[in-house]
Amino acid sequence: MQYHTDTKQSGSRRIASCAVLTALALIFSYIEFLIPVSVAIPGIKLGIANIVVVVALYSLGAKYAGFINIVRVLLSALLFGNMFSAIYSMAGALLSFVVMLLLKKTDKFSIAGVSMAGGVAHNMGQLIVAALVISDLRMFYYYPVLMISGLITGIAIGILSTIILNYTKHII
Amino acid sequence: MFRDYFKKADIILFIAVLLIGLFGFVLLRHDAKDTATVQISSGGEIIKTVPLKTDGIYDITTEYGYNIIIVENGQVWVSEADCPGKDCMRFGKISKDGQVILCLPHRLVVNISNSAQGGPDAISY
Repeated sequence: MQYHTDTKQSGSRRIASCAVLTALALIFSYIEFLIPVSVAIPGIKLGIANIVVVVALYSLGAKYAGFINIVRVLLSALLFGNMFSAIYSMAGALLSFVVMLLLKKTDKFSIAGVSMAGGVAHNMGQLIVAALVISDLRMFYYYPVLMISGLITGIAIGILSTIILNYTKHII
Repeated sequence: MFRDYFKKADIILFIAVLLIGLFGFVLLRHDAKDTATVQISSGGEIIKTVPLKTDGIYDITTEYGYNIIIVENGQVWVSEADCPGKDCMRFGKISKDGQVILCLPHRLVVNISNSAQGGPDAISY
């Protein structure tokens, strides 16, 4: 499966798609804020907002996906969270995005694989920042839980994104 | 079906990450010895070390807030805290060497350690 990362589309159309996707990502962040999945295991999130980022990465391209990602984290921190949670979200979002971008560039991984790596990188980014904030490396004892959970949620998000991209490839 | 979503490189990466994760589960977690201790630290500094086999209730109050930590029958858990997320209480009861309870807003780390001094201290800064 190959998706167009550039053109056939006018610039203004892409900007409009980008705006719609940013709004969607924000709504997903809000849903996740309302329904915390971390009831069973602390620190775990489904990461449904990441569906939008993955879809944007494969449809609009890296520039737009990166923009959506950063705006989403900043706005959701402003609206639903606080600056304390924003540091963790931003660290996770940025590391995850960089890893996904690099893996996508190799062209060896599927969308689900890229998203899977993104899920793991997201959790690891948060853990690294947490260790820096608390200045205590002991918390790395928690890494196996975060790594395996990132693996599972990342795959789920990746499969969903593949399906969505299939249905929307003519629209965005 | 499976091939629609995954490539070979995905599977290799999946197995690699899974192994690193499981490696952590197996190697970092052993049964706690009778001499194991519970280390409670805030902001990277150990503020209390208590034996795992001795029951007790500890009220840890720092500038960020309080956590009430209970040690009972070789199990440790946070029973009460005034942090916003209450994630520390969701960690449940820990009882094995290498397990942790984290309370990020309070910069609190509670961990069980078989070794009184070495281990985690050697890598914490």
